[in-house]
Amino acid sequence: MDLQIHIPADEQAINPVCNFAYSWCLNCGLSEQEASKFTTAVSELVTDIILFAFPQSENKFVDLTFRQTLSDIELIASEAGEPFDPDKHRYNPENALNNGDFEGAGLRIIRRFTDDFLFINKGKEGKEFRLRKEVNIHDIDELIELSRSLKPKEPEKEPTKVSYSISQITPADAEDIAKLIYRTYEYSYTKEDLYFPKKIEKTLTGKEKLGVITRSDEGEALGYFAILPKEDSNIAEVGEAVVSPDYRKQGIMSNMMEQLIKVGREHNLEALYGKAVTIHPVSQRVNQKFGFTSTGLMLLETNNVVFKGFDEEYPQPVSVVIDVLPLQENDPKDVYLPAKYHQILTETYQRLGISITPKKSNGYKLAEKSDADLEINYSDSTSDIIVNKYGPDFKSVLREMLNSLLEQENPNAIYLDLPLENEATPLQLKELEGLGFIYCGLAPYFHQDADYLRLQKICTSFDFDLVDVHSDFGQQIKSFITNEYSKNS
Amino acid sequence: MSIPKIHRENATLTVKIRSGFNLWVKNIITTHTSEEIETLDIDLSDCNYIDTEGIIFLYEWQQNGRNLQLKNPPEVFFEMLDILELSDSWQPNIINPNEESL
Repeated sequence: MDLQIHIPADEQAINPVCNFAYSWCLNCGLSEQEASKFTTAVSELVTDIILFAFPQSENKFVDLTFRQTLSDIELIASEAGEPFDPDKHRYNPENALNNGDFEGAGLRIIRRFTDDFLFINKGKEGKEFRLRKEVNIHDIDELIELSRSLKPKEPEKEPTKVSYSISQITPADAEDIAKLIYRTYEYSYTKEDLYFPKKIEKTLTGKEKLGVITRSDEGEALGYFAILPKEDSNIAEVGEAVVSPDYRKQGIMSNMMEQLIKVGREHNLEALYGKAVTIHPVSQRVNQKFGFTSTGLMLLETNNVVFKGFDEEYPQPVSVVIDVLPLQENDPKDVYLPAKYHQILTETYQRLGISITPKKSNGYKLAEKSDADLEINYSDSTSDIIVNKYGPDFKSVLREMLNSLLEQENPNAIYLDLPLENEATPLQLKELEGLGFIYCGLAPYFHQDADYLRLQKICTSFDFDLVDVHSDFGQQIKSFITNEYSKNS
Repeated sequence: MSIPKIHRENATLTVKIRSGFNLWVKNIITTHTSEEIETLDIDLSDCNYIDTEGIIFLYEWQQNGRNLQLKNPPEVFFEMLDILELSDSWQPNIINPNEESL
C-alpha cells in the first residue's frame, strides 16, 4: 500500500513528516529501535533535500511516497531541485574532528540505517531517492510458535482419497494457509511472507489478495490458490498454489483454478496472468490447460528459486513466461505497433482473443517532459520502468535512470514498459537504439488497464538453453528473443 | 505537540525534546542560546530519533567550551556516534535516571 505526502521544501515540514514516518514504521511491524533508525534516515534525507536541493527557492515541493509491502518498507522522495550526486559527498571523520566539516554525515547515516539507499537521476524530470528497509517481525520458527501452529505431520505414503469442497479464503484461514505452505515446501518456499499467519491475515483483511481454499468434509485444509490484484490495473496475478502432498492427484489444483477464474470474473477483472517459472514446465502446463496464452518471456526475472523436489542447483536467475487469460470481451482498441515487433505482437493479440485496430501515427505532440515510474524489486535484482508520457527528454531521462540503476543496484535485468495505445511509441522506440533493450513480450492491461510493449535489458550472462518454455507459441517468443539477443550481443 | 519545551534559569537553558531532534528543533533551540547561556541541559527521554543536525549541534556546543548535559538519549544516539566515528573523541555528560535508580 502506498501513502503519499506532498510537502513544501521547508524545515517546518521535517517534524510532521518524521513523526508520521515513526508511527508508520511501527505500524508496518518495525521494532521501536528499527523505527527510530529508519525515521532518522528519513529525517536526514528530507533535511538534505530542503537544504541543498532548494537552497534559495521558495514555493518548491517534495513528493514523498511511503510504500509498504509484506516484506519491506520503502520511502520514495521525488523532487526537481538542483542536481546532486551523493557519491560526491562522502563523510570524512578526520575532517569532521579537525575542521568541523561534517559534509556527508547524513548520507553515511542513511546508508547505515537502511537496507538500500538508491539515488535515481531522472535528468530534467528531477531526482528520486529511495530508502528501503526489510521488515522481519520475528524469525519464522518463533512466529509459527507464537501463532500456536503445530508442526504438521509428515505426509502419508499413499495418496488419500477425500471428499472436499472449495470456498473463498477469509482472514480466518491464515494459519491453515501457512501450515499448507510448510507442509508442501518446508522452509524452501520463496515467498517468506506465507510462513507468517499474521502477515497473511493482514493481506486478506486488506483485500490485497483473493483466493480459494480447499477443505475436506472434516474441515482439514488441503489446498490453497490465490490471485493477487495488481495495484495499478484491473488485472490479477495467479500464484501461491499449494496442495498438501497427501491429497495430490485428485484434481484439487484444477478445481481451485476453475474457481479462481470464476472469482476473477465475479470481480470484473479484465484478465488473469501468471508468471510461470522456466526451470520446469509444470506451472506452464497448468496455465495452458486453463486457456492462458503465453505473451512474453521475462529473462532472469527472479533470484534463486528453490522448489522442493525440483532441480535445486539451477545456476542462474530464473526466467518466467508471462501467461495471460483475458476474462472480458473487449471492443477493438487502437494500438500503435512498432514495425519491428508488429508481427509477433499481432499474433499475440490474436491468440489472446483481444480485438485491436492497429493504427499508424499521424503525427503527435510530445508532452512537455517525460514521465516514467520505476519499480525496483530488490530481492530479485530487477527493475521495471513504466513509461507514462514521452517528452523531448525521453532518451536522456531513460539513460540517466539506467545509469543510476546499473551503478547502484547491479541488476540482473531491467524491464521497460512502453504504452501501445500511445501514438508516439513506434517512433520513440527508435530512440532506444544503443541502450541494449530487446523484446520481452506483450503486457496486456498491465498498467492503468492499458496494453504495454515490454522490453528487457539483460545485465548478466546466462544460458538460454536452461530456459524451458512449454507452449508452441512460448517457444516462438523465446526464439524471437534469442535471435534479437544474439544480434545485440 | 512536537515543539520542544524550553526553560531558562540564569545561565542554564533546559530543553525537553519531544518526538525528535532535527534541523527544525535545532533552530528553535538556537534562537534561545544567547551568549550568556553557558549550560545546555537537554532531556531526551521522549526523543524517538535524533539526526546529524542534532548531533552536530550538540557536539559543536561542547567543543566550543560550553557545558552540555544529556538526559536519557535514545539508543540510536550512541550508534550514530559510532557510525560518525565520534565516540572516541567526544564523551558527552549523560544522565540516565533509570540506571541511577537501580
